[in-house]
Amino acid sequence: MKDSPALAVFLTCDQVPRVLAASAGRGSTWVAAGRGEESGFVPYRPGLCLAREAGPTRHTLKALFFPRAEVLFGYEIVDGVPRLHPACSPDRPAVVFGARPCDARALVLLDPVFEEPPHVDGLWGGRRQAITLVGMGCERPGPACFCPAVGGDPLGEEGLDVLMVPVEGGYVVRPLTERGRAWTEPLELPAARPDQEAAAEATAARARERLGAPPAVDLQAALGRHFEHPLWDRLHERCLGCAACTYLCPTCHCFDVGDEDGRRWRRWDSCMFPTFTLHASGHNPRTGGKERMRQRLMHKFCYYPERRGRPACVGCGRCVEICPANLDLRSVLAQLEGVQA
Amino acid sequence: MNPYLPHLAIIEDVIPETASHDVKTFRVAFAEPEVRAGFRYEPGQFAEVSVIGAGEAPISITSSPTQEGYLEFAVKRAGVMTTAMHHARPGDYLGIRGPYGNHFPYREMEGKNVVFIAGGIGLAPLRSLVTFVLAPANRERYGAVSIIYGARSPGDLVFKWELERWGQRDDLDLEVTVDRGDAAWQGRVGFVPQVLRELAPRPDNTVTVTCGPPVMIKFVLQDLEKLGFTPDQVITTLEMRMKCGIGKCGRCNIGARYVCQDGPVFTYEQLQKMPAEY
Ligand SMILES: Cc1cc2nc3c(=O)[nH]c(=O)nc-3n(C[C@H](O)[C@H](O)[C@H](O)COP(=O)(O)OP(=O)(O)OC[C@H]3O[C@@H](n4cnc5c(N)ncnc54)[C@H](O)[C@@H]3O)c2cc1C
Ligand code: FES
Repeated sequence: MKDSPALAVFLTCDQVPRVLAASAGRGSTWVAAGRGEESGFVPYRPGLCLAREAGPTRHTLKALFFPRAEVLFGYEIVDGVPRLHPACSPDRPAVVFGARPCDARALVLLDPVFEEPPHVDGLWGGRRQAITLVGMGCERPGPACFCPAVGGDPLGEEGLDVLMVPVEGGYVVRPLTERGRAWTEPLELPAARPDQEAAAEATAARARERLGAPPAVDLQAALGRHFEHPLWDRLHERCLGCAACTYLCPTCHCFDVGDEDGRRWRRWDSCMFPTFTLHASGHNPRTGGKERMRQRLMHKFCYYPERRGRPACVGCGRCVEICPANLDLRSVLAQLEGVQA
Repeated sequence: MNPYLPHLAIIEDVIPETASHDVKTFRVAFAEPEVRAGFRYEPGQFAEVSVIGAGEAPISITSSPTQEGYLEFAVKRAGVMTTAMHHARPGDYLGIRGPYGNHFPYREMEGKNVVFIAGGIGLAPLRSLVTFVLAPANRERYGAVSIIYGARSPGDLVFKWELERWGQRDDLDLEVTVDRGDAAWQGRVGFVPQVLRELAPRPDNTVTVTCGPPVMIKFVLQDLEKLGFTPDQVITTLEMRMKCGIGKCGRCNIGARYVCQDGPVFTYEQLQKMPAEY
């Protein structure tokens, strides 16, 4: 969808409310808003307070595309004959304003999971087509951020339609796709001046410097050799199996399916729960915390890369911040990277 | 596109299989003629079968593509959905989506002898391939066909009606065994691996296809190795807890493979390269 780079425009801080109101006038507009634990994506309303956290919002962008609970179809049984009423994905255009590059990148990582033929998930795909993503580059990465370690960038463009880079007094706004241009053009903003473009470069350089360089280790290869390694016996010891990390993870996509109240639902589920792989016979291929934690890490850093060429992690650090047992994925990865062949 | 939406199908017949009726075979036909005409599948594939309101479960299609106009599922009563299914009667509706998964490599098997080794309800997925291989249009493409089938007791044998038909054929060697006999049982008594060792099929130009309870599989694999079969000559079909059946819900992986898409059929050679987490 990406084509020749369009000219960047400049948006001053005090124009943001007008721009949001204009966007909301054209179609539903979701905004990264709120503070700390509460921050997430909410429908635009006047006076909304933009999220200005260092790093991503607490709640993920994923939930707009793959809701926590979603109806697959409704059913009723009339004279013994079931009638099914399929859910359809909303196809009215919408806009998300303020998504962080890591969250957008997570959607790109999930696209092949949901959309790879022959089984195309139109519920996901419909929303992906309908929603324009206006991203906000990370000026100040958060304390738990580690996107460069997994191939990301605080000013990354992947998956975004527009990237806004915060600079003194406002934002350098760069449309990245046709859809992005369709959002920026009606705003009639002035072209960004060379000094503003230079300031955007400086923002990027500062953010990258804060995050540091990625480690030069082939984690996928190391993990591939170490399914059976004594480290797994220790790594999981502090894990409570609460699955909070998976619920806040922008790339976790496991779900359960079940019938309730005349509807077949899908709901987020987690490989950290003991029942996740429990057969009706009582047999369970992943019996304990060790196996479950290994599965979660292997999936993100070995199995997914084997299929798709890169890790299923965007380094947003939400799992680090939420873990009640203070398990830090960064140090877990460092330990795994330290394992010698 | 909503890939979770099942097609409706009507139950035409329900056949109790085991003495305790904990396994029943359901013969079903799609309600819509276009679906009935367009539904194509291969031996070894499965479907997600629903009792609308009680849920959905992956079930092997036990009929063969050579049998047109209907599908058959042999279902063991295990939990919520399979129990609801056991309450269903002819004329009741099921939801079916699929077919899903890979299939038995029946083309690669052409020209070879085939040894089927099954235990309990593990015969259900193999039956599709047995019927396919024995079909008049296909039979001459395969060499000698033998089946070793066992269950805990005579009452636990499934597809007895089918076993009788197979037993009458002279182009097929059928050995049925039970772990424990009863007063009426005149057949073999002994575990499947024992029978396998006794019959000692030769590995030359032969493939084996096996499915059954994990303990049986474990010993069958050991014995096949002792008989000289190499891991690529041994084909099995796996079970993992599933929800979506189409590689999305993240539930059924063994290492980087999703059993619902890359399986359920694997060679022993492939399994040896995967983590033993199944
Ligand atoms: C590829 C494949 C083919 C199968 N073929 C057959 C068959 O031909 N006949 C047969 O009787 N059984 C078969 N099974 C097992 C069957 O799917 C389970 O017995 C069934 O899911 C139990 O569902 P339930 O709702 O009654 O049990 P519950 O315990 O209530 O399970 C709830 C849900 O969990 C999932 N689940 C639980 N156990 C299993 C399991 N062992 N395998 C997969 N999903 C599970 C299902 O989505 C199920 O609806 C097969 C399984 C797989 C993976
Ligand atoms: S059953 Fe959902 S991924 Fe295989």
